[in-house]
Amino acid sequence: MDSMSNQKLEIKNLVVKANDKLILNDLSLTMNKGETHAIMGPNGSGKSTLSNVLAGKSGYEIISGSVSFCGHNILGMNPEERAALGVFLSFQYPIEIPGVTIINFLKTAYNSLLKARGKAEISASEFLKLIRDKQKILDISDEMTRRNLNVSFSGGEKKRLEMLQMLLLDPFLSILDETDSGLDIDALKSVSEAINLLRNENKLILVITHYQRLLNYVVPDFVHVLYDGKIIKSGDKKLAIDIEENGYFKITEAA
Amino acid sequence: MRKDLSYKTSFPLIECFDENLFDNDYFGNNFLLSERRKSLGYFKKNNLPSVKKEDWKYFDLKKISKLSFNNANNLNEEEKKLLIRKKNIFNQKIVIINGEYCSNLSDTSSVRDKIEFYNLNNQNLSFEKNKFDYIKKYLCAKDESLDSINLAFAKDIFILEIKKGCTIDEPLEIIYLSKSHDDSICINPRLIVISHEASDSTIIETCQSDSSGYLWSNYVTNIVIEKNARLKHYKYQNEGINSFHTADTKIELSSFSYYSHYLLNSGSDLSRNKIHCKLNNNNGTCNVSGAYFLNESQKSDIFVEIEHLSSDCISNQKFYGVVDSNSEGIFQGKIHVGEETKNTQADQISRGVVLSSNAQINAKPELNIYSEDVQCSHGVSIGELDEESIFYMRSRGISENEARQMLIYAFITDTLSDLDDSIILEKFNKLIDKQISEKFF
Repeated sequence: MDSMSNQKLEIKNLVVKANDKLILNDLSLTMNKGETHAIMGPNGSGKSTLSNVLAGKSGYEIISGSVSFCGHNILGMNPEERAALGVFLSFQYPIEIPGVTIINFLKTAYNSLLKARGKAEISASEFLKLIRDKQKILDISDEMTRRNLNVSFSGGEKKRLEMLQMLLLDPFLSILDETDSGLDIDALKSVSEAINLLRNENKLILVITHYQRLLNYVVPDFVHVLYDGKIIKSGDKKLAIDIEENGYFKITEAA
Repeated sequence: MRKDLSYKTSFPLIECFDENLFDNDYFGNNFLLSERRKSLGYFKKNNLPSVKKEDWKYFDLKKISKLSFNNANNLNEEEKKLLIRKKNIFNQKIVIINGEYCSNLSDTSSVRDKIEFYNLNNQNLSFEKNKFDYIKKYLCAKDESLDSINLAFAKDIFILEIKKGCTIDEPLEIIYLSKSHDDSICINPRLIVISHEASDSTIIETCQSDSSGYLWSNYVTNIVIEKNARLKHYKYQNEGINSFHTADTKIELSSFSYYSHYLLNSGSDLSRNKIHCKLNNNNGTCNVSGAYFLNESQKSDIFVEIEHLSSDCISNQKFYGVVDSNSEGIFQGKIHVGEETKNTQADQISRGVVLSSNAQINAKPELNIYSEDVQCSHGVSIGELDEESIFYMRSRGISENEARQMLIYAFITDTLSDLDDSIILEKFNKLIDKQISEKFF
């Protein structure tokens, strides 16, 4: 994977329907490696649809357009193939799965990616060492990783666990769907630290958010405003501050 | 009797009743022969119950009734050894092949002082009369189709006694193996287990077969738990796809006794497990639980009946199942609480996951409560695997198939939550894992 030169996400004229309703309408976005982009937008603008479509969730009808990542047309791939290519979605609402322990889930996921990339799986002890290093960053105890996946976790714990998964799986494209929602200031800092740790010249990070709060900690290179299924304005961090002060109204009215 | 309440059979087996099967008249007055004859008469009269009978509503014996079942032939030593290879789980084992005890393949040496195991088709038994009187009542002919064919055609009768006050730490395995060649055979193992006063033990029944022809294994097991005794009973049913498995397990509990049953049911084309517990005296506890995995056109009927006939007793039923392809799972759970009883607690839950649109699960709770002083609950839930969960796992790189298997495992593992023996827990975890990966891919 590291040898891949064309680490670039290109969304071209994407039109997506869900339940016969047009959600994304001619959306285009290009992200180059090393870049962090933020997509902001009011409720119902299509933010979550965009992240779900990128990760390969079913239930969406792709009417037209294309999404290429690292030179692959990923719209034809299933979610696990996209994950193997390095796509990661941090869920807005992480799913609770009773009966599946975090540690077992993480190990299975990690080894699945290795296998898909033609590499040998790692042993339980190697894995434990690896995961413990990542746990420290997010202050996640061993006791917590023995619990069932997201079951009876607080909102903050769920988001920290999403970040643990992200650090472990070390994706090329991380899509963070409202990872900041419902976090107190300490959790927000902890989550931001994880994202910043992942940032480097090879990674692509797409932060989807309502507020610019997270963007104080994870400073984006580009900020886009999504409205009615398309990007109506792009700029730098100043755009996010402008939205925070004046709301979406002026921008959406102009569009 | 209405004619359509039964299916007529014409098993060649019925014409081969062996008057001289048990040479020794241990019970006196030709007791066993006369009960066996009566049983034959009952079977000839009753044949097999049809779906018109309420208890058999969901489980159709028509397919079995149309086959020509014979008695099993004896296998040679080579065949027996081949059959048992890699099949046993534990060191202490009793091996029964095609309904016959195989002493040379069995080993109970380390629990010799704590148990007695014997078979009635044996020349060398000498016991006190009152012991045989005790056993006798479990060998009386019954006007029930499957019990009667079992008693009439059981090649042997096995008795396992756990001695008074004895604790056996390591599980004792009872291995039933069956094999037919090209013909259709019917095997009728009959076992009586007596947990004597204040004994504490664990048994595991494993039922497996290897057959080219049709095989019908029809088990009858009577279990008696005396005062203050504890018995944990596990069963793994993984007979081949050419086989039909019917098992009737009847348990009687005395005061302050404890019985738990865990059934992992995954084999056979048709399987029916009936587990009937009678809480005869005060302060008895019985927990009956298990899991079933079905694919292709398999059908499994788990029929639990718990009778609270005395006060201060507790019972629990918990069965989970997963069905795929054209298979069908049935859970029927009866709770009966008698009029004079006080302080009864009886709970029942059954859950199922249906993986294909052609598969189905039927659940039928039946509560007959004739007492006021009862805490009782029952619940049924049947659904599909959660697609959101599957997407979440796939988005992390886990294949769809593995995600489904992990969710099935997660679902089933709840049935193991009350198993407190780590060796057994590990074993059943592995068996469940194996069944899931073999069945649902």
